[in-house]
Parts: sequence; C-alpha cells; structure tokens
Amino acid sequence: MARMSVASFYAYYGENAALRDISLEIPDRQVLALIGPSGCGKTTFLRSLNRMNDFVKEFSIEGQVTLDGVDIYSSEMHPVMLRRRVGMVFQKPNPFHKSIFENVAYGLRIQGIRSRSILSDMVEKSLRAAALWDEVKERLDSSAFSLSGGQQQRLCIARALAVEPEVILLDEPASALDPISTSRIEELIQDLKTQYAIVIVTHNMQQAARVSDQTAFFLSGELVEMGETSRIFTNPSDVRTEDYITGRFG
Amino acid sequence: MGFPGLRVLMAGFSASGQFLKGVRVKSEEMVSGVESGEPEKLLQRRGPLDKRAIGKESSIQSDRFFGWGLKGGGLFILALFSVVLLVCVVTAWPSIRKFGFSFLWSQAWNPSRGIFGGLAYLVGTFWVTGIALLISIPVAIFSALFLSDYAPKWMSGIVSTLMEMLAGIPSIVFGAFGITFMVPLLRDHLEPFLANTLGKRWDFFNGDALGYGVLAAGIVVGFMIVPLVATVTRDSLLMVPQEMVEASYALGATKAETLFFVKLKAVIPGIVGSVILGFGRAVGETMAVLLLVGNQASIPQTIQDVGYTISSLLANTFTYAVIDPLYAAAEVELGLILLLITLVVNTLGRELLMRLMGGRLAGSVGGG
Repeated sequence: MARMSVASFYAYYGENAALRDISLEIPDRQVLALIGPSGCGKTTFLRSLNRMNDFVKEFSIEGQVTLDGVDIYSSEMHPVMLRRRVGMVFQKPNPFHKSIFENVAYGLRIQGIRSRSILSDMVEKSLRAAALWDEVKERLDSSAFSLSGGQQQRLCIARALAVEPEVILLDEPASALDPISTSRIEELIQDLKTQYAIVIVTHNMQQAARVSDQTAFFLSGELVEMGETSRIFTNPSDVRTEDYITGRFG
Repeated sequence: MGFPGLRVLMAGFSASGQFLKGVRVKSEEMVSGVESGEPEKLLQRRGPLDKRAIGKESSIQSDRFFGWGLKGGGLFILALFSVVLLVCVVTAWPSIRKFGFSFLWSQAWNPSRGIFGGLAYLVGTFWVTGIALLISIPVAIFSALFLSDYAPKWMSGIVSTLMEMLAGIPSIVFGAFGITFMVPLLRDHLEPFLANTLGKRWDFFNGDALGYGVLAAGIVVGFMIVPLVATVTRDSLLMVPQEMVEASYALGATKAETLFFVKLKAVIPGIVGSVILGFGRAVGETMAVLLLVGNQASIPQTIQDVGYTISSLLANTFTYAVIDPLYAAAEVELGLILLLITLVVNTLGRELLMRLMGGRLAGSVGGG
C-alpha cells in the first residue's frame, strides 16, 4: 500500500526544469532507494517530499504529491504539519548546539510537550531505536558535538524518530561516515522499515542493493525506471539503467 | 622623576635591548653565511640549474627574516602592554599606598586637602554602563535578527550600511546630539513621565527632571554601542550553517522557533563576545558622557540624577591634576580600576561561555 504518491511531478529552479514528469508510489514499511548520477535530481525529489525546497529562491513545482491522499502542496496541509509527519536526515550530521538529550527532545518541545518524564521516555526510546542509547546513556547532558561523526548521524536519526514521523527521508545519510558507522546505519535502516516508509538517496550502488526493497533510477531529471531492487540490479528493463548500475557512466 | 618603579622599567628596557642585539648578531651571521662571493660569479660557476638553488636559499633566508619581523610585532604588543600597565601602576602608587582599599568605598574627594576616594566615580561609571547595556542589548539583538532573517535583501543592505556609518560617528557628535535632542526630551517628557508613573511606587524613578544625568548619558552611550553589538550578532547569525536551520525546519519547527531555539542558541558566543566589547566601550566612553552626565561627584539615588564617571573626570581634570603627584595618582588609580574591571569582565565572559556551551566551543559561531 502506498504511503505517498507522486503524479506528473515537475520541479523548476527558475526556468530550469530539475525534475520532469515524475510519477511513483512510496510504499509503506519498505525502503525505496533513489539512485542516479550527480545532478540527476534525486535530492531535489527527496526534498520535494517534505517541502524543504520551499526555502530555495525561485523554486516552483507542478503536479501532485500526496500523503495519505492529501495533496501536500495544497492549503489542506501546512508545511509545518507535513514535516512532522515526513522526517528527514541529512547528508552531513547536523546536530544543534544543545546537549544530546535536548537535541532529541527539541522536536517534542516545539510541539509543546513539557513533561520531563514523557520527554525522557521519548528520548530514550528514540535513542534506542537509533542504536545509540548504550553509547550515550551516561552522558545525555554533554554537548552533541562531543560525539563522533557516526554517532552524530545516529543522533540526527534519533532526533527525526522522536517526533514519530510516518515517512523518513534519508539524503545520503552515510556518505560522510566510515565503513563501520555506515554498516550500523544500514542495519538501523533495516530495523526502521518495520515501522516507517523510508526513502533513501544514495550514490553507493551496493548500499542501494543491500538496504532497499524498491529502487528508482533517475537520470537528467527523469525517472528512468523503478521496481523491485533485485530486479533492477539483475534484470533492468532500460539500457540506461543497465549502463549505470554496471558502471559504464556516472 | 623619582618613581621607585622606574628603575625596574629601565632594567626591562636594557634587557630587551640586549635581546635585540643578540638577534641582530645572529642575523648578520646569516647574511654573511649566504652571501659569500659575488652572486653573479656564483651563477657562472654553478651553471643554469643552480640558479634555482640560489633562489631557494634566498627565499629560505627571507622566510627567516619574515619570521623575525612577525616576532618583533608580537613582542611590541607585549612590551606596549607591559609599559602602559607599569607606568599606570607606578604613577598610581602613592595613592594606592596611602588610601589602600578605602579608596574604593570612600566618597571623599578633596584635592586641596589631599584626600581621595573614588566611590562616586565608580558608581557613576556603573550607572551609565548599566543603563547603556540594558538599552542596547535587546535593541541590538532584535535588529540583528531582523537584518539576518526577516528584512528583504534591499532593506538589510541599506540598514546594515547605515549601522556601520552609525558606528563611525565620533562620540563628540553623539554628545552634541544628546544635549540638543535627548536632554530636552528627557527633561520635558520622559523623566517627568517616569516620576509620575513608576516613581509613584519606587523612589528609584522619582527624581528631579533635569535632563542631564546618568539616564541621558546611559541612553546615548547605549545608542553608540547598538551598532557594535548588532553588527557582530548579525554576522554570527549569517554564519549559522544552513544545515542546522534545515534540521530544525525538518522537525516541523516554525521560522520563529528555529530562530529563537536554534539560531540564537548557536550564536550565544558571538553575542556574549560583542556584549563584552560593548561593555568595554561603554565603560571607557568619554566625550559623550562628559557632555551629558552632569559631572557632579555624588552617588546617584534615582535614575534622573546627575553623576560623574571615571573617564569624564579624567578628561575634565587630568591636565591640572598632573601637577600634584597624589592627585594624579588618585586619578590614574581610577583608570587602573577601570582596566581591571574590563579584564575581569572579559575573563568572566569567557568562563560563562564555557559553561553555556558545555565546555566545548566546537562548531559554534562567532568568537567570545
């Protein structure tokens, strides 16, 4: 069953079309990997799903993106409400200048949750879900910047989980991390997909093959093909997909 | 010049002279070591490839000279600071010895009888500085937030330029503005208003509306430090990484929430740093205060009262105080106290920053 669906979606930076005629469905409780060479529009697409491109000047869209049947670009859904339901983790770990605890609690606090016991329950739950709890439970009050890069990224995942989103968008979440941290993040993604719809942008083909159930291949702003990851990687129907995944370009 | 510390000073000078001589001798050796023989002959003898080697040697040599030059600059700062401090301590010594700590809590200031106590000037200085900071910090932070996040581009350009121009206006001009504009405004409107409203409950606000006084001086000095604090805060805000801002939006935060809970938090070091700078400026501000504070050595009891600050006292009287060693000593001691206070505030500010940032300043924006 599709959590979000995208129909004839176009995105423009000024006059330039960054995305053309994208239609796809984001399945619930599965991982969708977006692959494609740099500049193909996969990050633009990802950021269109929670309206993070609204902050880009001259950005405009056509077409429709729906979350549970509601058009997210219509007045029926405020961007602030949308982003509480569609969480995002960025390429570079970007913790706040706050303690570990407060980083995770931030999203809850701005929703007006004041109770210390609810906050600490939620923070613990999120940190456990992000497989970080055991490493930080002794020092929740120290600065988030005292953590390593891999830990910071898991903290950012915990922060995104704390507001209990329905969809999680991951923008190359492991590209700035070492192999060990990367494999921890990948394990984490496997755990998380039992509860969330996950969309991950990745440059790493092996990573896409390892973690995703569905793969969508973007090229020059167009969706070339999308399907079961195993099929895309073994038996792509488009020759351009085959060229890309076999490393002939990109 | 019978100051006891002068000999120490001279000893210091001759020591540094010897040090410099040592450097000079070494550098002469260097030069002669490299330039043995005419450069052109050397070139002929060694062939074309060695040209590069010679070029290299001379650039290594100039690198060393460059290093010495920089070291000299650094040592000059050190020497200058030491000399200024030493001269101040030496000059102030008679007063320090005679009055001790009572100088800090005595209000008696009688040059003809040789009795000095600096309390009135210290209190006056703090009144003016306190009022200035209370007024300028909120105004500066709000204008910085407006400029960095809310103002349209053309507007923030104009306002930023005006702000930088404001920072460059000479303080005597601010003083004149204070006399012609702020003093009548305070005397005829604001001070009577304060006395009739807040003054009904607290005597603190119930003074005579004179126009001149700590309030006028504090307000104008506050105006003078707004550009300083606002510029540093705005620059820090503009340097907050976009990723951090996006992280907040991605969690469903509104613009105001992001601004107050994420951006402001990230620029606290910058704000504290600029407030310390502003404090230093306010404490030492002379001309504008001299024109506005009333220059009367009494301890202000209400916000409308006149007072006297250390810097305006020195500006008014130091030229004839210098004739009498004890009088000069007392005034320089006040100056030293000012210096010490600034140092203490600086240190405390740093300490506060370390606490606020959990002992780590990594990744934060703006210096303390």
